[in-house]
Amino acid sequence: MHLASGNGRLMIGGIRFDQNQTYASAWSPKASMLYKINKQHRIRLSIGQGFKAPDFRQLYLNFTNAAAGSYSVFGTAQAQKVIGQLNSLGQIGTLYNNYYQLKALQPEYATGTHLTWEFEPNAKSFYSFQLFRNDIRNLIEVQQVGAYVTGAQIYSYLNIGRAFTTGLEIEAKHQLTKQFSISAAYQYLETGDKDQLAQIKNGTVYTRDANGLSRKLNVSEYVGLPNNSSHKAQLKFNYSNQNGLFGNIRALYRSKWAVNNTNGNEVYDAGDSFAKGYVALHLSIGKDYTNGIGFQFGCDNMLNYIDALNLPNLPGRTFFATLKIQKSKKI
Amino acid sequence: MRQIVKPFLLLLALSSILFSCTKDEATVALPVTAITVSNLPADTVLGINAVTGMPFSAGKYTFYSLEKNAIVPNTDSASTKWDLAFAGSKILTNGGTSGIGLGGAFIYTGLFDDVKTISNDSVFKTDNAPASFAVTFGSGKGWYVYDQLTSLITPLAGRVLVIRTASGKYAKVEIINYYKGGVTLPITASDSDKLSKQRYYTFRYAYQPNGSKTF
Repeated sequence: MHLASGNGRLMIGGIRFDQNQTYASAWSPKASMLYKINKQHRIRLSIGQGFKAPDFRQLYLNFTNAAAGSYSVFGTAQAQKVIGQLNSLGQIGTLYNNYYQLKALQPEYATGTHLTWEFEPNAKSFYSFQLFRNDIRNLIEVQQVGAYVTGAQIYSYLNIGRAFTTGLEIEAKHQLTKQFSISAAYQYLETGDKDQLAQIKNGTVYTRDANGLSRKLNVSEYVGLPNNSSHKAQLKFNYSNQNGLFGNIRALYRSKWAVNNTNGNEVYDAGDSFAKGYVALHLSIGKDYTNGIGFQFGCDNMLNYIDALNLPNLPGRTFFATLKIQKSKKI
Repeated sequence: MRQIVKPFLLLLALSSILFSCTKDEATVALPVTAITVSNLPADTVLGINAVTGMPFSAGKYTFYSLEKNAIVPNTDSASTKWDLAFAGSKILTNGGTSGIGLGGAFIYTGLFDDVKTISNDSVFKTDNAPASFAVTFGSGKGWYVYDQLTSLITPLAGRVLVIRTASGKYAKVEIINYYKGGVTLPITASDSDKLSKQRYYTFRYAYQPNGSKTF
């Protein structure tokens, strides 16, 4: 939907409606604005609502882990029925209050605002600065809803949280010569659970001092949602010439992130256990020939950074080589 | 008229100060000092059963007297000599189904130092095995959380066990740690360390010997 334009201003609005038989329907309105100050400067503003539907696992999972204490996870579509049957067989020990709150999962709603300033001083350089804020409602979270007679836990999913993510992103690209270019990106991110923040401000969240004695947690010690790093950066050198030779080296940095809640409260704070920040360096070199044959080799994670506990998907230093043959007929 | 009123007010003020001083001195008990108990074993794991693969222990409680600040022998389990009994993450009070004393407890959410006086409307629960215990048993329900992923027990911060002792006196207890040496093992510790070094309590407590509910 094109609303208005003129004087370098452009406004676009849109709305999406999703309907599904299992979960509630959702509207996703969005509005964005582009304002061209001059040839070099552009301002973008977008405000929109998005949603994430509950996935198959959250709805239909029926899983009991016999290898680890026989705990169970039931998707919300069947949790009350299955647990009710188990209860009539005398297998349920306790049901928590949140068991009675189980109902059809609502999609997660996120309201996002993004303000971007793009600066293109010349044809070789591009810079962009973005401020963003997302407010998430109905965060889907796994929770223990009861226990078997044996004490093994029973989990299901509930819509509970009010969370936010906010921060800034900086991006820069520069063409150094005809062959060499460099690009860099940086993100600063803050996250949090609004309900937990309110509890901390009320003085009802505790932590322990160096001697193990309880004290009140300060807001400044709160780190927000787990698995999120405050700082992320990427630096990339790129080379490519007219003969099809190309190469690039990428450095990715990620600062520490909270992984486990270990200090005896229900929020993630400075006293919990963190995965260490790290740099991963990747290199690749290759050549494409005009006859459709190309090869590439390189090395991922050159610094051989390994953190098997927190980064199972980052293997150690990995060398690779690929050969591709492409045949195409001219039509 | 003014000249008469001023000294009269001063006299009134002075007398009220004097009066309140004498009254306070008469009722305030000596302050109760906090005592720290370290590495109290609580039915520690002795080994792993070769047939079942399950850890085993002696299956015996460690009985403790808050009044004497000492372990009480198991032969005195049917007496009022002990106030608390520890086995694994379970803590008993000497009353109800657990003992012949007047013991009971409730869990207060807040700081140890903030428990200055137990209000008269506070309800002390007593042990009613196996259904319920005065010191609530289970992860996240009482004084600790158990993490499935790491197999570690962490005492919840900001929990005070308010205890009525076997003889009907009052104490407050903060559990500080559950591992040998008073430091929770790192997540990466071996399974055998996680088994053998657990069930060692470090806690601090204040015991009021005069029977009042004020610490």
